[in-house]
Amino acid sequence: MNIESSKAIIEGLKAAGVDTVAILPDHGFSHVQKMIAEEPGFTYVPVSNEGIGVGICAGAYLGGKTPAIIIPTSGLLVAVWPLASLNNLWGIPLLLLVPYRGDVGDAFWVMRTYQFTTEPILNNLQIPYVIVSEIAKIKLAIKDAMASSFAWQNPICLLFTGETLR
Amino acid sequence: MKRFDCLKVIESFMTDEDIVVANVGNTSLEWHTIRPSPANLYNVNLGQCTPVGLGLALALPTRRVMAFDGDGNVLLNLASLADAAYLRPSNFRIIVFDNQAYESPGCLPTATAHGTDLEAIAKGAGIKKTLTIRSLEEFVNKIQLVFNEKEFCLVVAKIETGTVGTRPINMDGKRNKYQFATYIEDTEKKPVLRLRSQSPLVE
Repeated sequence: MNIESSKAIIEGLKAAGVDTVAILPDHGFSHVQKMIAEEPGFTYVPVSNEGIGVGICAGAYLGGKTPAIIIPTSGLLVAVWPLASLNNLWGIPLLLLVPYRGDVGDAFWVMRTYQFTTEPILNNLQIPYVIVSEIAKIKLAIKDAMASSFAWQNPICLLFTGETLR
Repeated sequence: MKRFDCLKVIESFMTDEDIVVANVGNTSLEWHTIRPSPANLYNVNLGQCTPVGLGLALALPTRRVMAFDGDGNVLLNLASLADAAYLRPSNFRIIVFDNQAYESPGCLPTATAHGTDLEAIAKGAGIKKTLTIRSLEEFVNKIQLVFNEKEFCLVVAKIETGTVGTRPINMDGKRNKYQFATYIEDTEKKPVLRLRSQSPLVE
């Protein structure tokens, strides 16, 4: 992800009132993750697996915080258990930011799996998602997703692709 | 040592403001029997008790947050101990009730029945303050002191399998969430649920 997209994500998180960000480092999001770690407005929560991040965010929400989680595409697979057993079952909001590796155009055989896992898993977990492919739409997409997540008491996922990842 | 007796000891020195995240199964039923409270989260599923408690402890630094975890639960998600050690909120306490068995589904042994030492794992994960307690007498003597210190700690309580007569929890996760969130909103005077009365599209 380029610097311009990264800055737009930070602006979006701030506009959405996000104050707590759980992160598992990812090549696609390395700029954003570094910026969040250095930004005093965010409580930066590094985690060792994505499922832990989902659990921490659930606790943070119940304590009145506004959490988001930034995880790799593969990490969505790791996070499925708490997304099902906590967020889905209890109705816990969460903003998920995920690079859409494996989208058409991400022409590398290692990424192929995510073409067939990412959207079906989100559908099965009843997590609405928006595919964000333009930098100009990042900020509003984040703000809208956070608002709907609270209003619906349900996680919402943003999948970043196209010019936002290049 | 029985879990129910340990929980009664913990209840004896807790305040109404203390938050408890209890793992799925008998621990939740026993805790609900001893201390029914809107400050409890019950039946938090395998591997998630410690992460949820950790998130609450970070969000509410003036409250003491206790995770009542189990050996099977912790074993499923050992990496959560490393993250708790790194983040180490001073208001967070983990107590692992280690009965060396998956008790609720029929008592098949966990790895702790075959030599796995959860306190050693916690220490290795970087948790500075750890303790293993093996008798009720020791539990009575030490637990309050450990829990009252202003330092993140993990206690392993080696307990017997088995439970007592408990009262049912007439709540699913959603009801528990609304009750807990409303309680936090009322006592902390800040919004938690953040539901809306109107769509932003028509505001």
